[in-house]
Amino acid sequence: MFKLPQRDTKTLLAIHGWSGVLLGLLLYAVICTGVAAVFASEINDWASPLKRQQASAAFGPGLDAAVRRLAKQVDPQFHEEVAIYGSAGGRVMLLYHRHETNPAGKPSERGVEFELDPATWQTIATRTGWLEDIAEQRRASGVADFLVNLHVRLHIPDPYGLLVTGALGLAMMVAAVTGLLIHRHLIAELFTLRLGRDPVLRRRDLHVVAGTWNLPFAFVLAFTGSFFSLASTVGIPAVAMVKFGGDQEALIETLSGPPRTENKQAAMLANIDAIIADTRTRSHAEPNFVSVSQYGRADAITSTFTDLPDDTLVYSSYVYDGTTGAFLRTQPPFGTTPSIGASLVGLMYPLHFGNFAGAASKAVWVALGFAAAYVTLTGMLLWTRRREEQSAWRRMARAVHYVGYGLPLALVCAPYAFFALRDSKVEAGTSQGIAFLAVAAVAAVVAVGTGNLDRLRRRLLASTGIAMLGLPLMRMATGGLGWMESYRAGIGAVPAVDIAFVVAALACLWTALRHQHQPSKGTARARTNTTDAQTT
Amino acid sequence: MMPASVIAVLISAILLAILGRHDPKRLRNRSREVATGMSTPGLTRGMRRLLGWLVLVPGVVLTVIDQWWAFLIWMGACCALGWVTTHLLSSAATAENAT
Amino acid sequence: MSEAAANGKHLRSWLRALLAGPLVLVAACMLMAGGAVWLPPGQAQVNNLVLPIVLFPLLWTALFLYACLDTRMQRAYAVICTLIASNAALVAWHLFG
Repeated sequence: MFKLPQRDTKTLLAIHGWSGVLLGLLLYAVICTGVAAVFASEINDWASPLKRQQASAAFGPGLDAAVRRLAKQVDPQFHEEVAIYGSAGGRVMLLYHRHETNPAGKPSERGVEFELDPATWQTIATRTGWLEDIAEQRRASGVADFLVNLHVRLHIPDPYGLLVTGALGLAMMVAAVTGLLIHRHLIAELFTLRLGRDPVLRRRDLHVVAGTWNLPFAFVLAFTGSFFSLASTVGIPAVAMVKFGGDQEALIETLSGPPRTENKQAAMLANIDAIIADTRTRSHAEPNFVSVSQYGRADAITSTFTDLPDDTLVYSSYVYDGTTGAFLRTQPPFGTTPSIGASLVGLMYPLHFGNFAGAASKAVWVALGFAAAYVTLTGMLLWTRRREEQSAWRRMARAVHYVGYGLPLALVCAPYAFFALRDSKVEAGTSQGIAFLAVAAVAAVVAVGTGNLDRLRRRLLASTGIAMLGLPLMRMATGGLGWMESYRAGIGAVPAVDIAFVVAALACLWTALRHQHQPSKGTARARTNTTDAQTT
Repeated sequence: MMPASVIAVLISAILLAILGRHDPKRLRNRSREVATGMSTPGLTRGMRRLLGWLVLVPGVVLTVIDQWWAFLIWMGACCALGWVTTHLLSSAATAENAT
Repeated sequence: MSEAAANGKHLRSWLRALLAGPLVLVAACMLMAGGAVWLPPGQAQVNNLVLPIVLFPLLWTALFLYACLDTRMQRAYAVICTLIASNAALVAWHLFG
């Protein structure tokens, strides 16, 4: 597509290959967990449904009374801000908190979180402490939280985890751009997959075809992903240093718009139910987050956020006087009036998460995320296959097979621990982490002990398929809803995710068991056998 | 949104399938055609270019009528379906060669 | 290849790695910081704060590929170092000037 000098093409090819092979295994993990995280809310609803008729709205009538009742139970110092949002299975969370610097010296939040059943507004659970501790104590959202944490920061503590995933996003951008530039016959080879030929050629085509079709979204996902990781770790500190003497809170307050004039006089909070109803009318969308700042004071502000209204790609929030309930303004993501900067940031969310149009957009994003994982894996397999004469690259090939096919197995097995220890005191993240690492260790032993790489691939794929088949059974065996119960309760996520696991399991088993296509030429077969013998 | 994106995706998917089926490089790599003399008639270069541009028309229409959700779904679905189409066409050709 | 030529090639590789690695990262960060100073704030008074952060991944990618591809290493060093120095001076002037 681009006719570049040969020297440049060689350099770009080296950059493309080395960026992929050095960071590919970690990048593959981020992409795989990202694919699963697209359906995080559905996974949470599947894992931890409330056993009652699903409410059609996240914030139904009675929320206001619950907020006032529970506000009396918490220390008034935590009335600085109240966050109200939906969680797994339709639960509603109320987080009364204040902004402080944590013992590690970083800006954080400390307070009390109540987990409520919106059908009765009864408290299911209460958690206290720093936000990080509160997050670890959450059980209902444990399955998706584990996946999302692995995707966002590879379970590495902040800020290092975000820096690593940010660097991986940059590497993916470099790989996408260099891949575009080095592929001379991009359009001509769009439909060319030579499956019956030389194995190296087959792998090359598999990688190139997947990469070509996935190119636009690879770039978008890499760009938005690296933005999300690097904005808080690099961008905000740098800009805060230049413009606000290092005060990041001041930067965030500027981006949020001018604060209200302070007035510490006591005042009743305006009715939240009425504010939510007004937001629904204004936005034609369902509110999914409410924030009350300075609860119980005359300078209180209530802000509501909604799902994206139809055909809108940039979110807005709705700001109300917290004492009178009067609507003040519609606020863009940053600042008080629309701007290019705010719109660009707002666009990042739907482009990265793919959740703007519900299941339809999520399904497309999962397909493209799967393609991105496929591109990463086939790229590493191609690289190591081309260098299989060298023992170091043969070991790398084994590592690629181990991570490529072992990671999904470990991810699928983690929720088994969640279900088994659901009613125990063990934190959901801890139990799943141990299960994940244990399965990864067993898979490592299998990877070392299985001589033939194709046999290793089949074993890991088959194990993943079997694990997926068992998950719905494990869920039901540990007290989860059956399909009839779910149907009566109007909880569609339970059978939907169960069926998705069964379909995925059958796909894994079919791929593992199907006869590997043999090359039609004798030389290619001889070469494959020689390669297998070398890896045994 | 849904009807617009479904129609747009359908139109582009059909055009992609036609383009893929008549792709000259893909056809050249089908060894069975060489052996049996049977061949899928190719399209002229001009026709292929026209169809290629027509694939993009539904997306352009969606942006003109401000259907941004449908546009993003169309774009993603075209990329995914194009990949799947390539695999299906190659698998079919490989199966033919094997028999 | 003679030993001197091999050493020269080795040195050039290290210099290229230094340029495309740490120096490009510093340049991208300085461009982001400098952008907060010179970009117009816009009507909402946030563009100069937000745009540099949003564009950072593109800045780094463009600089990295340039640093890898420019055949003349001296010119590449001059460009990257000029970007670092000019934006550092701009930031210093803003903070202390």
